[in-house]
Amino acid sequence: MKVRIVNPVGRYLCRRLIQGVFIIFAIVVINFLLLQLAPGDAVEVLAGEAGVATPEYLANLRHKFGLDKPVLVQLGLYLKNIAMLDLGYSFRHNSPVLTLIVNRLGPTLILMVTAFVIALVIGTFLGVLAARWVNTWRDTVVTVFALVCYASPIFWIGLMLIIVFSIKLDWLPTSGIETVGAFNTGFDYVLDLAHHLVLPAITLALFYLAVYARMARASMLEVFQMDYVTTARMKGLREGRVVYKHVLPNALLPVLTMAGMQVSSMLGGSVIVEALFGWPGLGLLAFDSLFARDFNLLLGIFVLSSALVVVVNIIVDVLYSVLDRRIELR
Amino acid sequence: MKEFWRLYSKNIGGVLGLAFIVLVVIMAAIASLLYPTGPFTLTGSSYVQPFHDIFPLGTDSLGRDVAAGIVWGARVSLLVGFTTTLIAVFIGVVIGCLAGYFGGVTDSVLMRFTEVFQTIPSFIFGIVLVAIMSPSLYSVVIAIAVVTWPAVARLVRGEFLALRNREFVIAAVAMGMSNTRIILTQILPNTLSPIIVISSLMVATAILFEAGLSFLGLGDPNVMSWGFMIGAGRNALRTAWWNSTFPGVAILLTVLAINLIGEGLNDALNPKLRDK
Amino acid sequence: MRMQLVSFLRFAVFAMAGIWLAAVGTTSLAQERGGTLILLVHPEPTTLASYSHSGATTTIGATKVYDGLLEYDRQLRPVPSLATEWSTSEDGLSMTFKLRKGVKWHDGKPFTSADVQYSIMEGIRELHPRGHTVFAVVDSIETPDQYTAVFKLSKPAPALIQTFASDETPMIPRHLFEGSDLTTNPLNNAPVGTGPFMFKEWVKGSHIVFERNPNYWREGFPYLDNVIARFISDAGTRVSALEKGEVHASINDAVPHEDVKRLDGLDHLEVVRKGHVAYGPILLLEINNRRPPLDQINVRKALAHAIDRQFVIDKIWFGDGVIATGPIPETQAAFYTDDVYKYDFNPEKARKLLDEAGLKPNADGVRFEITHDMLPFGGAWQRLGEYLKEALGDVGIKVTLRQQDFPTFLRRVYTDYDFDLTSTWFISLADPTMGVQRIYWGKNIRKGVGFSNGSGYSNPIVDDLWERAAVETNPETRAELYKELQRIIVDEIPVVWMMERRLAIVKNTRVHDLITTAQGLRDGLYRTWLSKE
Repeated sequence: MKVRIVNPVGRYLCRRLIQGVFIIFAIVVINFLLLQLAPGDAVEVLAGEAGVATPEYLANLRHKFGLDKPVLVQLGLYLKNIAMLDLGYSFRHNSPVLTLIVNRLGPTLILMVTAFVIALVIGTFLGVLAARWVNTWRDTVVTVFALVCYASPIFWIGLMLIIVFSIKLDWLPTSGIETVGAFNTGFDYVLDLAHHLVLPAITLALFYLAVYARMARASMLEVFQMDYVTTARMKGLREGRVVYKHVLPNALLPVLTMAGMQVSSMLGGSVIVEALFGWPGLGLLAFDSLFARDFNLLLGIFVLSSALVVVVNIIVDVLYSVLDRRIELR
Repeated sequence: MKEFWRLYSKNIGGVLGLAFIVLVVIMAAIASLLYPTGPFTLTGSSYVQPFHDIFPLGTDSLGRDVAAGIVWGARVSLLVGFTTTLIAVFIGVVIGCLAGYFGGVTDSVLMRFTEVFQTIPSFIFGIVLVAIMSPSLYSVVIAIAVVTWPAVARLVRGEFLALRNREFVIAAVAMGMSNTRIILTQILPNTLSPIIVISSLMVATAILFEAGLSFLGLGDPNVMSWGFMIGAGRNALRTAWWNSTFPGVAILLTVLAINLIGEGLNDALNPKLRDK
Repeated sequence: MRMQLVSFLRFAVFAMAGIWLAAVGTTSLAQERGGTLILLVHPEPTTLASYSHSGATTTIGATKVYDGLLEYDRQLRPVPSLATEWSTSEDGLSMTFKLRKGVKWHDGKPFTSADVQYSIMEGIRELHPRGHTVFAVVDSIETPDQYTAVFKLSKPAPALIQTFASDETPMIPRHLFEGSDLTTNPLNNAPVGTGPFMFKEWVKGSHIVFERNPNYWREGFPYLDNVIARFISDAGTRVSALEKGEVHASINDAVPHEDVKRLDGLDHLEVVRKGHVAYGPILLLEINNRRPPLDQINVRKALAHAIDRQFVIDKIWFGDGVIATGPIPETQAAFYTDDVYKYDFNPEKARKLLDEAGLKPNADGVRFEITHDMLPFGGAWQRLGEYLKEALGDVGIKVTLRQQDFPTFLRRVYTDYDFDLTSTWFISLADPTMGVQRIYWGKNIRKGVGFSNGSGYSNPIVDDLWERAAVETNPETRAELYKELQRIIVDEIPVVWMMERRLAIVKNTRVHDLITTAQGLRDGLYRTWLSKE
């Protein structure tokens, strides 16, 4: 029974989603095989951390974890499980992978979304400001600020922020997602969370803030040259109206594309920020699982973050075509 | 060429950036003259403060001269930056031009391939690659290149798609030129501008990426790079701030300079944008 | 004369007042009840199943919840815990423990000898990496009544009595574990024990909460309301948390060594270096005795003489250690001797030894090249590697440093034996058979087993001494055997003994009685209390 989807947007979405599934599939296969090249396995790590073990103990554990099967068989089993949305079990943590990921997903999402919003809103605002008042002191300040944020190593900025705002000024906590001994609930908890969110979110946001500021500025300036802007000006429209109604929507298109791409790299940036601030998120979990050779967990995180990126990219492309009616969804 | 320099020098930032990078390159080149015994020499005086003594930027916990580290580290940071970019750009250009020129199935396949690499979280994937190959300059360069080429491929593909249907290309096809010649002599030269601009940004990205890897303990332990110095001095940030701060400033200024050069190049190569 | 008498009397009065004040001052601190102790633990454990996992942080968490049959005081003498009396038979083949009555598990059920039998025979002896070897000598545990456990041994094991603290041999509840698969039982991450604290919750990536056991069998204990194990993955952030008082104490190695001294100087923080007694940690450089020229004793001797160990202690570990003289640490006082050859820092001697070995320097001054694999546990080990590169380079040995992650390191060193020189540290535990023998025993060269005999050292005389000493029941004879072992092994120098670590714990001055047993932080912390300021 063939299902025909008549709506072009619906057809487009279907195609993109199917493509997305294939991409995730490819990512899993590539990484699974790649990780087999890493010397050592989860059992050796557990035994090494234990400090002492016997060959029988190791062989026993390997059998339990299913690590003694041939590589392709393991890959096949894993893919079969993924298809049924079973991400496997982490023997190291004694817990299903999905549970572990879900527990750590919240903090990462909060951090990323907040950083994203800060970067996008403030960055674009600054970029627009700089373009509007181009070649004045405002422009120079914004440009220099953006360049410095873009050029500094993210962990260095983070450490500096901790020293200044946490240690010297004592305005904010040094690390973590909550005040651990306090057992806050309800609104107090939210407030405490927000308090802890400030420094990590700012640290993660600064780099992308700079990117958006510069992009927005360059894009705005480019659009300012366009004919329809000149026309609008000639028609006697106020400068403000020119900017917000005609320039801005078109200038933001590249920013939007960039935003889609940034989701993928922000997940990686969060590794450093999470490590620095002790933020219990997925980035750190991925990092730890690599060095513990806990492949089920690592691959699970890859699957999830890739899925996230695919979805965000689809949303961005749809938004893009909505914003610019000249662009069709192909 | 003269036109290029005229346009380029209109951007003050670009000129300053270029001057700074030239200084850094000179410093790296004469490193063995300034500090002949290398950056790892133990001088016997640990945690000497900067600006006071014969060690202008102080020393670290083992008594190694920070200034020596900065000078020798310039070599590594520049080497990593440029080599990585070269490799990434090469891969990206090859894939991008093949996809953009031939279109159709080739384009689809290559773009899906590129999309796979763009979808994997790049920093984590980079860490995985370094972990597999064990940290060394070699593995760091490869890892960063593998993770950063997709952006170049996308850009080049877009350019090739746009130029493929232009008159001079159609004319070349009609003249019977082989595909390879068309790509190399007709289209590629016209895409050099955006490629050069993106390359300059990638050098900066590579340097920052290497610093990040060193911070996480995944850098090459046999060479003195700025990222390595920040990682090594990180624990003493409060007592011996100069260990991590000066290399951090070095990275900041170098990346800044490279970015300014990129902007200058952008202005010089895309003159229609420069009249701001 | 009278002036002198007056001034003497004045002095005497002040002196006595001072002494009285000091006495009052130190004894008048009354333990205060309540409060939450926040302990900085790094890295986060993967599980709390200390009966099958022996990772350091697993043990630190689990020992709050589980008790052992015994504890050990700071001289490593056994002290009653869940067992009140114990004795060994004449022939050494039977050990009897009398158990404490009235002890309840956290779920209310009573603790009996059946739990002892289960914990050891089904749990530790089967699954624990060390326990597997240590308890192999136990054939069975008989339980003639609810409060008596009799261990039947296949041969005498004088070291066995040293393994019954909660860190190595926790007592787990049979009625909750029996019949289940121990490796996947959810109790692994939510343990139920008889200990001073009960497991409350584990927020992975952040913290574990243990709350006070109101029915603890030690009347009046614990003092604290809660103990929280807090995980922060970045070292700098950990230091900041201590400074700000967000955490009250950190376990060893959680604070970078550079900062330990600095933190000690702050008013509200101090450093305690007492938590190592039961563990006798030794830092050493493993040499691959299979590879020429490292297979020659004189080359290895030269290596040792080329290294300034005091420099390493002072500049890299910032004073947290003493030079190690040989395989057995001084914490095992009954067996330790320093009457062995001393490898002092002497580069000239090193060069001479290498010349005699026929390894002359070439035109670049290099005699031979080796690689050094640094233990991937952080900055100090990298600094050590960098120092070795310079120090050994100074006597003509060219060193290339290799960095890799932990699993790769284990694979390379203990499976492939693909190394020349590594750095590492071992815990020696309370008896040489428990932590020392494994490194120097020919029968423990086992591929794939981490921290076994990696150097490949195998001397039949030495092996024989190890085996005899393990079953020797006469304490004096036993001590003599170990001293002989030390002399021989130090002469043959299969590894370079760098230092005995003094594990530094940084704590807030509000925390009192943190370290009271030989186990340091790996006990119940039931005597620990927090003062208000």
